[in-house]
Amino acid sequence: MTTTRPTEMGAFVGDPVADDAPGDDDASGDHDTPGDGDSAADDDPAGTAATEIEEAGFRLRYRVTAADGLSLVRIVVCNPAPVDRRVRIDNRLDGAVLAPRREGVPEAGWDDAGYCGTVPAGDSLTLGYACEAPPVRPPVAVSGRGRPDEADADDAPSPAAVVRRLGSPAPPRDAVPGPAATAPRGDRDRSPSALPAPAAEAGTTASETEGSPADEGSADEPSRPSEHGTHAAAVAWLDSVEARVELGERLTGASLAAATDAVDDAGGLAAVDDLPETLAADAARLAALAERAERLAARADETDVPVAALERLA
Amino acid sequence: MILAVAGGKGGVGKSTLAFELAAALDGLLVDADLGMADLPTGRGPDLHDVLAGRADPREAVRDGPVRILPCGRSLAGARAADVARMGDALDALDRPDETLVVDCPAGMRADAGVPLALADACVLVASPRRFALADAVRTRELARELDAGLVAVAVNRTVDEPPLEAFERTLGAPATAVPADPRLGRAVSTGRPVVRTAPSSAGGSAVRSIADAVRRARPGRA
Repeated sequence: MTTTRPTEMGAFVGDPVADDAPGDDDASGDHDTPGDGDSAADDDPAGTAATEIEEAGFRLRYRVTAADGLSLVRIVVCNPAPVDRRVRIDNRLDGAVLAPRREGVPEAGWDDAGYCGTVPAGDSLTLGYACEAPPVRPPVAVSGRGRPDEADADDAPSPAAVVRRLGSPAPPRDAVPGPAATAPRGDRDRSPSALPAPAAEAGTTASETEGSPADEGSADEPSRPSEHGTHAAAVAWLDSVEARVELGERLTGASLAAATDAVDDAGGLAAVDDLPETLAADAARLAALAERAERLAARADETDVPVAALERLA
Repeated sequence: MILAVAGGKGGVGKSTLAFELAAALDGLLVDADLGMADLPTGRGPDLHDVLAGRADPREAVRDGPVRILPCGRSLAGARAADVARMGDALDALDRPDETLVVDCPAGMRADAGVPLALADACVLVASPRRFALADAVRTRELARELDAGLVAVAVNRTVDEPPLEAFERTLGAPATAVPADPRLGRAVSTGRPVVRTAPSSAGGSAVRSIADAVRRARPGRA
């Protein structure tokens, strides 16, 4: 019942299944999966890697690419019937579905095993997910679930659905006083994504100790530095990041001899052991910092302090 | 039964009304204003801890003139709280013979939406000024989408004759004017609900009439 045929040329122009994978970079070149066609998929204008099958009365176009131990699955499910129909997409890869998320909550219809949703009459549904498993073709199994009105009598919205729709109410990390929200520091063992929660668990009753004004300058945090001190600390932190990035660059694609020199300079293998994680953490922090810096710069530009007028009024 | 006391806008007196309604209904008050709690707290676990998975909701309930599950006031606590856990927390507290009165936060984010999604019914608190109607309408729409039946509108802190009809027409539920009464304003901080200390006052009877509307909405329960 499952028929496979090659895609017609041009059939998928502008189609997410045939488009190049966004966000793929050279990093994946280091982890080429043999026989998978990772780069072929990306440089494939004819879209030969996209395949179309028919299953359960749906037309399914799919494309699987592998990157860094992950498979990225892109599918378009077409419903040629003149009525809306529910569809169940089951992941055939050997791993849990990493579904698209919004506000940290998987999009409606997704679960660990796949997706369930409605395809409008004569229309299509575009889906994509990742999976920590090698690619399998076809990556999904499609089954029909009848007309939507029977199965779609949706139960009351779950808290998760409400969070997805309305947005998490959690205050932004920058607003939270405490170690996690202060200016970046040079200490390398604090994960940039460390939330106050794990730190709080170590303490007594969290709500009693966290966030109180007396808390700000205590504990492991030195007393609030002056602006000048903060600036110096920021520069020192950037210098330390730069040193790590330089080391990372020296080790990237280096010959054995060059790599040996670099590792020796860094102080031995132990010194570069956690370099990838540290650099990833650095990158995340820098990105957050850049975003905030840009916003602040824009706001600073917008200001217009009427000093003359204020002096006149004083 | 879970009753959400909502109202889009901040500062319209949701917490006061929720406190009074919990007193009138002899219910359990849950302060769900994760970011800006203003009901009395105290030492011990609170809703932040419950939603962070650090405390059992039943252990966090405090006795007093009105039984209350308070909410922490720290931003760190608010950040650690996962509002999606609210369903389990309220389920653990919900008893057939008691009304859980959930004081919702202002705004239209998930912390306001989740209690509405979990509630069997809701009361909207609005300010008598006309511009306040917009927020009430938005919350009303959200409550409708999330299946929280609107049982009453409290037009709070009225001084003159409020345009009750406009509220009723627009929001589609009976509106009750709750007069501006300093005793109502102090009720939360003094722990003396007007509906008990002065039940026959205009404020007390307004609260009682809203409480009656809530009782009538109870699905086949005492």
